[in-house]
Amino acid sequence: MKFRSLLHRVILSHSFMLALAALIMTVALNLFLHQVFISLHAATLGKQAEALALFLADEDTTSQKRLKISASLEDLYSEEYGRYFYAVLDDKGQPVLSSLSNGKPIFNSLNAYTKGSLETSAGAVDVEGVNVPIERGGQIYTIQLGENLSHRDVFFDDVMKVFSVVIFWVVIPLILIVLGFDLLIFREALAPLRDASREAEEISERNLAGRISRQRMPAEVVPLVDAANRAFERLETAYRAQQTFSSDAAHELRTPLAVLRIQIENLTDTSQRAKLLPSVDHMAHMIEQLLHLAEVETLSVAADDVADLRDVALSVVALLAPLAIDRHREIELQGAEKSIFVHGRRELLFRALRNLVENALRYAPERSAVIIRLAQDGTVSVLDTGPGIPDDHREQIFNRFWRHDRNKSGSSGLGLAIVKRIADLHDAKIEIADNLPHGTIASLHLKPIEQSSAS
Amino acid sequence: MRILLVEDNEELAMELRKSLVSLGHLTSWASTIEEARKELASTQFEAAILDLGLPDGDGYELVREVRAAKSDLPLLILTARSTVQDRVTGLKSGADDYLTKPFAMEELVARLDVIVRRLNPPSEIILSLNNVQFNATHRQLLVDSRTVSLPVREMDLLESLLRRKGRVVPKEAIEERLFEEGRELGSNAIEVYVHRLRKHLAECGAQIEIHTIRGVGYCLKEQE
Repeated sequence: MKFRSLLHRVILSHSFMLALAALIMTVALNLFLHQVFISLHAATLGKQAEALALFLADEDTTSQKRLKISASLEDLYSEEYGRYFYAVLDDKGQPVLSSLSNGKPIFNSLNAYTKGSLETSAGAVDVEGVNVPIERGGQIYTIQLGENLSHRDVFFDDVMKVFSVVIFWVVIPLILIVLGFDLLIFREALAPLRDASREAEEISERNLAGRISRQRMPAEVVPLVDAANRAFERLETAYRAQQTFSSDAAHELRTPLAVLRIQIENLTDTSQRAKLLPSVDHMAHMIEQLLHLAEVETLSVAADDVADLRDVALSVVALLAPLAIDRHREIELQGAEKSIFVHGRRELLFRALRNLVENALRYAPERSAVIIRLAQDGTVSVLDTGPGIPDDHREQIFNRFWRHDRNKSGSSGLGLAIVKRIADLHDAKIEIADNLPHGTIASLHLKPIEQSSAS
Repeated sequence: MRILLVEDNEELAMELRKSLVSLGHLTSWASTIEEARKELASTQFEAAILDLGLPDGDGYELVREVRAAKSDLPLLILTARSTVQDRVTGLKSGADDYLTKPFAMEELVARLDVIVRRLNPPSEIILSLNNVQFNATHRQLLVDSRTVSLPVREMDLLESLLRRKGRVVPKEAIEERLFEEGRELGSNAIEVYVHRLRKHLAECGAQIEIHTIRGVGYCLKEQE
C-alpha cells in the first residue's frame, strides 16, 4: 500500500495497533472475569447446596429412607420463582428428589460445575450450577443446584455488561488521546523538515550560498540534509566556474586587444589605421558588454537600495551626448526638473539606461534626437525616431546576441540582454512601444519611493 | 616627463613605450613589482602607469607601498578588470586614476596629463580648442592668434565651456558661474547669453560650436 505522507502512515498503523491491543485486552479481561465469575458462582452455590443439605430431612418410611426438603425453602426453589432449581440424585444417578415438577435431574453431567437446559412450567430456562456430593446415613447422594443466570434477580452478568461498557468508554478515549499525541509529536518532529523545504526553496542562481540548516533536524534526516547540502555545494561550484569562465575569458582577451589597439595606433599608414581602429573598438565593446552581462548575473539589488533616476539620466547624457554630437545626433532629457527616487542600484540603472540610449542612437536617423523621458511614477523612457521594432521582434531583442541587422556595426547584441537582466533584478517591467509617426519607445518601469523615506 | 611603466606583457609595454617616447616622455619599463621597486628607489619619476596583474603580485601592493612612503607620485592604473567593485577598489587604494584595457592612447595621455597637472598646477592656465585660445589667468581670448574682446558674462560662459570642452556642462553649473547665488533669473537667461556668445564666435571666425543638450546643458565641440 502506498501512503501519501509519513504522518498518515504512522497514524494509520498506530490506530490499527491500538485497536488490536484494545480488542485483545477486552477479550482477555472478559475471559478472566468469566473465570472469576465461575469460581465465585461455584463457591456460592456450593455453600448454598451444603445449606440445602442441612434442610434435607430423613423421612423413614418402610425400608427406604426418604429425603424431604424443609417447607420453608420450597418458595425459593419453586418453578414460579424460577431462579434456583435443585435435585438430589442417589449413587446410581437416579433422582430421589427434585424441585422440578417432572422430577428430572437438573444436569445430565456430574461435573463439579456445569450447565444445563430445563423444561419448567414457566418455559425452558438455561441454568448453571454445581454437583455437590453428600453423605447421609451411609448413602452417597449428589445435590444438584442450578441457577438461572438470566433471572432478573441475578446481578452477576449485569456486572459483566457494565464492565464491557466501561472498558469501551475507557479504551476508546485512550486511543484517541494517544493518536492526538501522535499527531502533536509528529507535527513537532516534522517542523524542521518544513523549514528545510523553505530553505531549499530559496536557493536559486541569485542566492547560491544558501544551505539547509541541520539544527533541530531529527538525527535520521541529518544524512539526507548533509547529502543535499553537498549537492548544492557542487552545483554552486560548477555554476560559479561557468560564470567566471566568461568573465575570465573576457578579461584575458583585454590585454591582447590592448596590444593590438596600440599597434594599430602606432601605424604610420593613417588610412589603414582609420579602417582597423573601429574593428578593434567594436571587439573591445563586445568584450566590455560580455563582462557587464557576466557581472550583472552575479549582482543583486537590496530592498533598501535607492537611486535618483534624474541623477542616473544626467550621467548617461553626460557620457553619451558628446558621442551623439560626433555622430550628428542629439540627446534630450525631459522631466528632469527634480529628483525621482526609485528602488534600485545606481550603477546598474546607469548601465541599463546607457544601453537603451546607445541602442536608440544606433537606429536614430541623422540630425534626429533621442529623448530620455523621466516620469514621477518611476518610469524612464527612451524615444527614438528610427525605423521602429516590428511586433514579432519585440521579445527576441532581449535575447543574447540577437541583432536585427547582423551587419550593423557597433552593436554587441548584448546591450538589451543586459537591460533585461537589470530590469529583472529590479522587478521592473520593460515595455517596447511605437513612437509616432515612427520609431520606438523603450520604457523601464521602476518602483518609485516617497521622497520623505528616501531622504 | 619621466614615466615608470609597470606592465608584464612585453608587447604591450614596448608599444606603449614607443608611443610615450614619441610624445617626448622618458619611459622606464618594469615587468615585475620587484623591478618596479628598484626603479622607484633609483630614479625620480613624475608619473607611473601600473598594470594590476603582475607575475609577482598585485599592482595594488605597489600603490600602497608608494603611498605608505608618503610619496604623491601620480599613479595611473591600467587594468583588464572592470567591474564596479574593481573600480571602487582601484580608486580607494590610493591610485589617481583607473583605465581599462583596451584604451585609446589619446585617452591615456589626457588622463596622465590631468593627474600630473593636479600635482603641479601650471602658472598660466591656457584653454584651447581648434583655433580658439583662452588664457584663463589673464582672461584673454585669441582666435587665430588675434585678440578678441567679449562682454564679461559671455567670456565667463566661454571659459566654463572651454574648461569642460567636449563634455556636457549642465545649465546649473553655468548659472552658478555667471550669476551670484540667490539672484532671480529669467527662465531663458542662459539661453540668451549662449545665443549672444554663438553670434560673437561666428563673427570672429572661431571654429568651435556650442551644442545644446536640451534638458541638461551645453557641450562645446570643434566645428566640423
